[in-house]
Amino acid sequence: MTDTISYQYANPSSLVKNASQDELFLAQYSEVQKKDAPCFFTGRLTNPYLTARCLITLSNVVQSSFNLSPFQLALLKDPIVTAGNEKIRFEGFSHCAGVYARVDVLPGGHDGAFLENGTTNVDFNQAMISALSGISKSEKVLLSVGKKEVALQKGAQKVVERKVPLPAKWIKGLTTVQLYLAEAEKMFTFNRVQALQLFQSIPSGKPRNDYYLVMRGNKPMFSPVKAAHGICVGGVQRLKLIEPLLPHATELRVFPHPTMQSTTWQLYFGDVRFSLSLSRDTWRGFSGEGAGLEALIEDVPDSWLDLVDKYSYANQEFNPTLMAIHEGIDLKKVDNMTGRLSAMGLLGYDVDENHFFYRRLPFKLSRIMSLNPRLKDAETLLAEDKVSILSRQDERVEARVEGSGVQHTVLLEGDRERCTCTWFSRHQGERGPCKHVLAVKKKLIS
Amino acid sequence: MTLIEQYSKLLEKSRRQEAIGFLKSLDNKQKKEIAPALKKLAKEYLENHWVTTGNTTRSHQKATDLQRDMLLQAYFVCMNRAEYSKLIYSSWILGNGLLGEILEWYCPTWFSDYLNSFADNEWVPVGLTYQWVIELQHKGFVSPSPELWVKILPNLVYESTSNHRWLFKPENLLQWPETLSEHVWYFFEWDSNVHFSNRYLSFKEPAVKEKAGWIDVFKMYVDQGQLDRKRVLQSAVQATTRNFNKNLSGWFADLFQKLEPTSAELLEIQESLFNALNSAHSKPVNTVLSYFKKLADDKEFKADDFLDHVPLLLSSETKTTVTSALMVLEKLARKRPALRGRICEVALQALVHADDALQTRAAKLVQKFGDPSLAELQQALTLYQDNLFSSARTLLQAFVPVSDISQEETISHEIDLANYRLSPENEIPKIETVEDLVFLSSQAFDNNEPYHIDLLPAALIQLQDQLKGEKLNALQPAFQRAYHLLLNLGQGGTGYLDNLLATFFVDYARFLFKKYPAHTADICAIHDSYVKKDKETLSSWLTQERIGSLDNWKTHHNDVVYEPFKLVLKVALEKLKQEDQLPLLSTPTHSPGWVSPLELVKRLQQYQSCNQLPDALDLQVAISRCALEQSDEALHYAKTHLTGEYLRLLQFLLQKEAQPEGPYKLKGAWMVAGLTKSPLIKFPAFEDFPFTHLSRTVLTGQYTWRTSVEGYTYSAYDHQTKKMVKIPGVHKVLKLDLYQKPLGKLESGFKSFVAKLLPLGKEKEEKLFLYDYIKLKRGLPWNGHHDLKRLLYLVPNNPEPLLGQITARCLNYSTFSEENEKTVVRLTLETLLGMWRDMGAMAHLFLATSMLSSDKTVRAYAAEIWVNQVSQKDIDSGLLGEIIGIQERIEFAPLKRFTDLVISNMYQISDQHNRALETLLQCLLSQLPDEPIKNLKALLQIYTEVLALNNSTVKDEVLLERLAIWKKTNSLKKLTERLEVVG
Repeated sequence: MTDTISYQYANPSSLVKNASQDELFLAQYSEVQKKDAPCFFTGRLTNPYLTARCLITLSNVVQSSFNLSPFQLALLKDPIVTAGNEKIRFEGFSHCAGVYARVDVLPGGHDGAFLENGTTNVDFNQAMISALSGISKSEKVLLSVGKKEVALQKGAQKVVERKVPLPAKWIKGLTTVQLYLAEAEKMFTFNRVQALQLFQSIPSGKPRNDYYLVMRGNKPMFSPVKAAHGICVGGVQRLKLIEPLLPHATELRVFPHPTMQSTTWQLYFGDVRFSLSLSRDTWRGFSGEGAGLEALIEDVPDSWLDLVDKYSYANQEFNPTLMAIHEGIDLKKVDNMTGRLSAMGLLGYDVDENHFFYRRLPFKLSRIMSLNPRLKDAETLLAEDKVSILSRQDERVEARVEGSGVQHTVLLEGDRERCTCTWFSRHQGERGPCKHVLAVKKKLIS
Repeated sequence: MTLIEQYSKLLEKSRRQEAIGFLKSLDNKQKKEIAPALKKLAKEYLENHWVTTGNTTRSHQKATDLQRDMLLQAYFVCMNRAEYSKLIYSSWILGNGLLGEILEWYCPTWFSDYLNSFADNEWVPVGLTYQWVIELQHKGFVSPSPELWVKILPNLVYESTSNHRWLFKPENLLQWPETLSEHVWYFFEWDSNVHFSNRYLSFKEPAVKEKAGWIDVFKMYVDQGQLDRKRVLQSAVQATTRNFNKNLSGWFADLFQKLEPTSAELLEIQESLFNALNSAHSKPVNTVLSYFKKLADDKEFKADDFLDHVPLLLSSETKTTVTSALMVLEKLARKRPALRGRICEVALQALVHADDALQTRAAKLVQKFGDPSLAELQQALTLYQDNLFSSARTLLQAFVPVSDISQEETISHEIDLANYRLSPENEIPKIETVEDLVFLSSQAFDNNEPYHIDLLPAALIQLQDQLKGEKLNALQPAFQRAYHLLLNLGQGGTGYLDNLLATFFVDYARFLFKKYPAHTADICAIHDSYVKKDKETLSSWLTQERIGSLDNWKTHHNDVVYEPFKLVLKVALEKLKQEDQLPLLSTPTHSPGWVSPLELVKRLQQYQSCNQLPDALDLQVAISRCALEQSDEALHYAKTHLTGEYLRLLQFLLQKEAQPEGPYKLKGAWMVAGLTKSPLIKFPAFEDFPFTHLSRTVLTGQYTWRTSVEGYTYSAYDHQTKKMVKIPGVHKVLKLDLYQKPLGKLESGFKSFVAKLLPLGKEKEEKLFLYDYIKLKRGLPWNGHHDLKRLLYLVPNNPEPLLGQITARCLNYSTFSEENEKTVVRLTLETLLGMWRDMGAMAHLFLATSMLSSDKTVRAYAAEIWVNQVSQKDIDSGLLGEIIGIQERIEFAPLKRFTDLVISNMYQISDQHNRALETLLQCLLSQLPDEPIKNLKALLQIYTEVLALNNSTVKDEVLLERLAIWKKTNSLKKLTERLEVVG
């Protein structure tokens, strides 16, 4: 698997201005789709001004990086789009994989036809972004995701090949963040005034310490003091990415993860939504969190993947129980199905509707599965016969795993798992299980 | 002779023309054939080597300039783009000189892409000029991209002369028709440096520089009719929203202004102007608004479209933008009565700003044009009600009756936080099994908590009879990390105390090797390998082994403040050696470093029942860490289980009104109990104790302090005299009198030296006193994030001695001079929040000075402590105000830091907080000098607001006098009169 992925777009994305209406054409590319790329959606945007503002903000997110050099900042990543079930969702990550953003254009937000269901990369080039900023409130805009005859192209057709470094963290983050979203619960709803007041209290610069969202009467604010009921946000300055959207929003909802491993900030503009998820801290990308590792301990049968394809189309709610009943799959096996499938890049999560939706990442499955080094390390430990189970009684398992120069102790007691390795000692399970625990669990299953 | 041999010969003899003929004769196959050898030649000729001749070493390259050019040409003809780009100096080929001889007969397919790639470069190669590229384009060699045109076009209007001066030649643009018809328009669409193309140029006539920018070029050709004026105006406005950087966006706004658009022109392009309001930068927005102020009266002005954009403008952080938007709204409201309802509704959005002037302007507009009976307006106003200043509140009174909702309950969470030190959530999980101990020992060196330094030795003592045999091997990972930590001092934020714990653990390993040799072979191997590594890495700068023993452990500066931890760890190690299972007394029971009184009583009881004396310092630390709450149960338990001096000591510590009762054997413990219970009270019974070498001020931390302006000089280079000169300056400094004369007689230096060498005898143990170690001898607590917290939790009930020392070292200037100081203050504030109770003047000084510090987080933290403690009625706001007032007499720090802090973090929290804020401000203002200090007006404004909120008046005589003096200053007249009236 190479480190570079080539996006081959038939044409660059563009916004073409016409007398009657503008045409926003988004070029798409997927390494798993069939060669003759289809057109996923074509139709009118009912609120083009706000959709454009949201897409500009998304482009700012995918261009941003909170831990990397300016050189890497310049590498604009292309977001992915999922079209289907009357919804168009644009997803993207910051370069550091610590900020996830999604624009949802809901059924009322467009008036058009979904010619295909699916997920694809779309070309986000600077010229198109600049043109988006010129869309005014009175303009009419036709959007097409993928090539269709109506998409205007001047001159000879030319394949646009953009080589961008494979955002391995990016792909991994896309799979992990869904699990955090699924666990997040809504804690606050703010009107526009409150949202503006809250953002006024974001400190300038890049504060290193955590900030806590607390309520002072009716007024929300960020305080550096740890508060028992406050929402903890590391790298709070990252929130400034959505500041330009606040004056347009009707509402801001905040969904923290139960243990504050991430926070999701969702802005509402009628039939368009913008959500921004922040990782625990600037130096922690969603990619390294390992939330999906647990789910991947057991191999997923290929037949399941076919079933998922059969039962789901893009953006549709994914109901594992229903699928299990229809297909006669043992319900116990389905228990962790959503976790497993989203860790494989097959599901997204909608915090508002509180359900997973089908969205197959436009990357090869082998590429996605190769991005879990901890899981691979665990497999190596097993292959080298470095795991020995010392005792197993009811729900208590004690094991020894050979580490570098020392013997690690792994203790599994019901839901509680502990290891003497540095990773576990440092994170106490907050960032997913260590390779030793994974290896022991895999051994127990086998 | 092979092809490469032929070429090598030509290169060696520098025969360029013949070499070109040779290259011309090559077919594709031959080019491929010589390519590998050409690479070697290029390496041989172009690579730089260091050559030493006599005493000088210089970089040398084999190739002459001519040979370098020949190699560039050969590479260009024989290599592909990737290979060519890799060659050093590859861009030197650009320009007519070298390529002119080649392109006529060979132009590679990649050449166009290669040239276009320079559009992404930070710099433009010298040879890559507009003139040359357009010539290439005309000849059909390249298709330049718009990005490349905007990169090279700015320099076209400048020509250099022989004496390195520049000439401004805008007429150069007329040489090719496409320059004005096509290329200049790319500036409006693509990112470029057009805005500072002349910044670094030195012109023949200095006055020219002012008029030699591209704005002048555009103006000239627009005036001459060679550029479409309307298109330039529209494009300039549109360019402001193209995600360009601040300077470039601002430049387009300047260009627009320079063209002095007429009202008719502005109206024609108003849609573009509305869109410019979306610009991420304030300059274009304010420029457009300045035109809208003129256009608003015109009936062709699309007011509805403007109103659509108003929310964006009124939420801007730039005050000018909000003011200008409100001015336009006011004009519109005056001219278009039909829109008044909507205008008033949107104007209310300016009330989100905590700024009196903005709120008053918006409120006046609404008051003048709004209909108080409109439900929409009333409803919209309710959203801002809590945010209103008194003037806006008064102006809008007719729209919504002022609500009297009390806000007392708004900050319940902070109250939870600090009130219950012994709450169940703070309880430190007990280590009950060997497994727990194994995982704790691993954690203690990684994700460690402040109390791990105490918990690990305590658990080892408790479980020592179970931790033996094979089980010892489970400690391997922990030992490995302890050794690793010692070899990597300071890595991963570890501090001195982490290092100390690791040293203790290594000493414990040494003990295990002796006691259980059969079961510690693997641990011993780990030990040996790290000790070996330690020895191997010794060098001229690292002369001492890092893996040492607990006895010899010390910090770089021999700081005594770490000693109590070392002494307790030594006690623990001794207990392990002696198989003594009696617990340490000072081990915290509640996070981050509290000892529950009940647990202390129970631990003491164990000693009493064994008839053993606890370690003196361990007992003192335990008393010092005792959380003085929920003490009834502990007292009851003590009365029923303890006797003699232990009982009397505990009664004194835990009973609020209890006085010490002799006889006193544990003198140090009694003294610490007194300082823990009531630091500021002097107990006569302790006067004869042998601790008179420390003054009361040192024990209580109530140092005297002052702020002053001090002169100093610094050296700087004087460009005129070309010499270093001494320049006088002044700085404002906060000084604390840390040195205090001891009350009693000091031990002679020799006697104290000998005493240190002697083992810990009974007499010496009696003199052990925790407060002898509460000294930050040199520097600041090290970078370990827990060090500071751990040190403060040695004396959590009386942290003021340390607070005084931290204030003197970190807050002596109003601006932090280094990052470490900032971190220390922030961590101290964080720790102080959990331990603030009945604090004296020093804690107030620390808090007040933090409120004026240069770091916003530090200020916010200090404000949060005030908010929290006001809720608990446990802070002297008057004293806080008085301290800030005294400091601001000399304007120790910009007062704006404090006024901004009040508005953002301290104002309108609850009625209780508003009353406390009034006291604080009144005491602050009373201390200020007659001559008004900078930003006094803002402070008086806040004071006025707070008085209005509290329905209060100025009663203080001193302040009234001061107001009378300040009234003489014009800018303060109105405010002071208003205050005097309510006074």
